[in-house]
Amino acid sequence: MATGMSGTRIRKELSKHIPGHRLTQSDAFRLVTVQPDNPQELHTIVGFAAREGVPVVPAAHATRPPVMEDWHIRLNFGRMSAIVDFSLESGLVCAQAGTKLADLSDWLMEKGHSLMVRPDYGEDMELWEFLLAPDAGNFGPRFGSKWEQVFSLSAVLPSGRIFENSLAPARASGPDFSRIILAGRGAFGLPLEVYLKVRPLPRRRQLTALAILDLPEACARAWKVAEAAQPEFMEIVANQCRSGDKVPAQFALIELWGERTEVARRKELVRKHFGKSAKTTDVPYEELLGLEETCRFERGARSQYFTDRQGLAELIDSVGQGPVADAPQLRLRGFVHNQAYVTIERPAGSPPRPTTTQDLFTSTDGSWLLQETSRHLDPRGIFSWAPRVWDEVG
Amino acid sequence: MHGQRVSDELRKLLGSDKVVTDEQYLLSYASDMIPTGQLRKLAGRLPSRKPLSICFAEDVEDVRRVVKFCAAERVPMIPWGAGSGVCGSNVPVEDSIALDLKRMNRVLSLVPEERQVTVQPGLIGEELEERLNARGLTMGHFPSSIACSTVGGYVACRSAGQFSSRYGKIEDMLLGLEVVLPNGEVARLGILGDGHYKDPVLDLIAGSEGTLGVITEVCLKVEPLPEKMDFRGYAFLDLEDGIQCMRRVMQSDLRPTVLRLYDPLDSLMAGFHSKTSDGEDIHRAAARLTGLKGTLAAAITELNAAGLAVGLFRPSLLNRVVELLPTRALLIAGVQGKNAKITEQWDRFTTIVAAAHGEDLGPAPGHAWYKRRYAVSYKQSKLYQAGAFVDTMEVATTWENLAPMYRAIVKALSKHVFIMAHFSHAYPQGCSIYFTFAAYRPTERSRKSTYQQAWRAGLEAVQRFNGTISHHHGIGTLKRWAMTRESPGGQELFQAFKHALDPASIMNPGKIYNIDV
Ligand SMILES: Cc1cc2nc3c(=O)[nH]c(=O)nc-3n(C[C@H](O)[C@H](O)[C@H](O)COP(=O)(O)OP(=O)(O)OC[C@H]3O[C@@H](n4cnc5c(N)ncnc54)[C@H](O)[C@@H]3O)c2cc1C
Repeated sequence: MATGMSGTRIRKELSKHIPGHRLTQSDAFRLVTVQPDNPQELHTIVGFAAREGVPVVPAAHATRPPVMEDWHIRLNFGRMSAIVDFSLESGLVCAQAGTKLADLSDWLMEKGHSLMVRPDYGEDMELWEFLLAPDAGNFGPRFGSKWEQVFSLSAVLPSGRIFENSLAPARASGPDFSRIILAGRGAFGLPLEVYLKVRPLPRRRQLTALAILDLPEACARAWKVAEAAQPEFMEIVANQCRSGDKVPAQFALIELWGERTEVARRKELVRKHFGKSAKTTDVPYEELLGLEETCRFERGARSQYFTDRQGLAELIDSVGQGPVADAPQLRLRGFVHNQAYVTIERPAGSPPRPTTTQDLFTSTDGSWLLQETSRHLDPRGIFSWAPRVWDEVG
Repeated sequence: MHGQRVSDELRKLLGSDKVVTDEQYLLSYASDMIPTGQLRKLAGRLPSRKPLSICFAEDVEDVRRVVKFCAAERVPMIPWGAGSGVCGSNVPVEDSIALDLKRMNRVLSLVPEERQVTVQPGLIGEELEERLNARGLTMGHFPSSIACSTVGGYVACRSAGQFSSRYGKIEDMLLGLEVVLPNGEVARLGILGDGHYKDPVLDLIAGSEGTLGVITEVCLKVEPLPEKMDFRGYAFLDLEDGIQCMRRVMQSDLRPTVLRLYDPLDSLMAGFHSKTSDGEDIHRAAARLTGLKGTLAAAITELNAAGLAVGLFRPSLLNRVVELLPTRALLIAGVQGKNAKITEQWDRFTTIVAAAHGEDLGPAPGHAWYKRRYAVSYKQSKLYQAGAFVDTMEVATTWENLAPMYRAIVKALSKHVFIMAHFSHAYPQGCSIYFTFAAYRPTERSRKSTYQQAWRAGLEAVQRFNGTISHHHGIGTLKRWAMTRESPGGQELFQAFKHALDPASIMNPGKIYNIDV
């Protein structure tokens, strides 16, 4: 469905539509980079691309761009990075797609507020990227996933039209298309301005690291811990690749926010429900957290999926007790509504990670349904490259 | 295909006990509970269109047969729950068949340890709740229509119950769905498929009002029954203080079971006041202010048919009188848990209420509300009998916009109708406002015209604040005209789904968006 339009023509035509813009052209990568300033310009750029059948690929920071044979437009959101609204009263911030998460977090911190989800790939990520990346984001029993933090959004659709929804905590005005846009990883639209839920910085942030003594038992008990103590974040790491004498090979990281007494009460619940399967460790929380970051991608094949209680028990059974040199490294999160989110890193030499266009949340039938529809929404496939931005992570 | 042939073919497919074409049945399936349908009936007129036939599906195979037949013959079909919808979402706009799902009413699985229940879509909410209660569980979903609405209908309309501040709306309870798509294929979504409970495609079907498929299984999360529930009332001289109080409660770690703030008139109508805030008998005060004694005063203080007919004929006067009545706004709050936990929660309420200048009225108003919590909606028939109409408009916005939007809507509507409201379904970021409005007009035509003017004025006011035009009743045919502003670009996405899934446009056409497939 490609247009066959050359880079020079794309550049010339675009400069007619958005005069005064610096457009850069790369013959090696067959792309013309555009940096729109506002949603209106995006409407014009994507509208042009849709008419001419020129693919549009957003420029992500955490990934390598897909290699393309056709000339295409590379969208750089760097100049759309304003914080456009902040309401203390309603606990909401609205930021543009190109806002760096680190900048947004710092800005909020100055206002005494915080996001309710932790970005996974480092804070260099821009907001649109964070929201569309297939990874579920670091989420916990208390606040849920990153998508649950999205209150409302606007997005550019593959036709160039701007999608918006009303500003309300819940709606019954038809299907919730903002969720579909996020799940489509770019194929249904690219977010432009996003209202996110924020909350005041907690009086106290209790970071607790526990060494796990009995992995199957701790995993079985984690469900109850999540339900009773509702940690803001909780994860279990097993067969950690840098474990040594001091550093436990299996540990749990738990974060609790709130008032002193409330946090103490919840911490007690964590201890009680883990029972003898875990104990406090001297290794600081941050060290364990950082350790896990350094191991992320160097061990080979990585896969992620959701599983239920039984599935998790079976997985832990198959991994066995204690660190084994070639055992996969596991990270377990979520523990909400009978579902845990599993990341497995297999040792180097394992088969390469299969690329997936399906996000982790969507069922197979749901994915099929989305794929069918995206063909009707975007008959020339100009946004069909967007989801592939994440195929080459790192 | 001709109506008679459609019915004959359906009988062949399903068996004659599952297909009904009796006139009185067809008439009762011509409309849901949308007020325009009621007005027409009361004027003694027949509906402009009724279904060709009604099919009663007993299992997913029946549903598939009907859907495949409709797709092949290009006969539109409308999924039916209990018909309690109030937006015209199952009113036929073309010659169609009605697919009633109430015979699909089984509980398919209940796993208390995993807090999940899977049911067929035609199960009535109250029956499900009773079944769960017997196992020490609750759905936590208590719409006023719980006795006359189905689980499938809840999901299709994104329904909300009275305890939503704690349990959320139906979409927050939803873990999985089975859906028969317009081509007859079955899709299993969320945890009923191999997806997550946050499968985004659940969010496509929830709220689709039967336009994208027929829901044939619903998996919901359930909660243990609370040990105890307790209720209280608080009064605020200034409505906005009450709103601030609700906001602070929802932004604290409290998770109240109920939080409903009635504006002064709704407090009065709900029978919470017998005296004004100055201590005067409410009937006497109303009579004194109106100078009319009897009828108009009665219209305000009781649902007296004669009084309403007179009072509702001049809504702007009535609204003005009510403004003059020195009544207070009442907040009903509910909490749940163990005894000690309940005391602890009320202590925290006391601090928040005091900071918002509220007065604690004790448990009586709260318990009185709980006892009569389903009653108010059913008083409406008195009004219809008096020749008036009554309807409700449930909108929502952020806390920041809530009071200004409330005032704008009251101003916009009070020219046309008598209006009152309560604030319920509260969240940390905002809240919904539930307006009840009524007017009397002598002819059906003038009634319809006032009704339409009121809706237009109200929704336009909502959209000036970027609020949503529906928090939990849905869109149907009633609010379709306002969808381009509710969600610019939404129509394009909806159309793409319709093109992909329902190219023959057989699934409940003419609802939500006005599109041409
Ligand atoms: C007195 C009264 C009080 C009410 N109180 C509340 C309240 O407190 N909260 C609230 O949210 N609502 C309330 N409502 C509105 C109504 O009860 C809800 O909209 C309810 O969700 C409709 O359910 P139903 O089974 O009656 O659906 P129906 O009215 O039969 O159908 C509604 C829509 O859902 C579709 N549908 C139904 N079943 C299916 C299915 N299985 N698959 C696909 N589509 C389907 C239909 O096609 C239609 O578009 C009230 C209504 C009345 C009359």
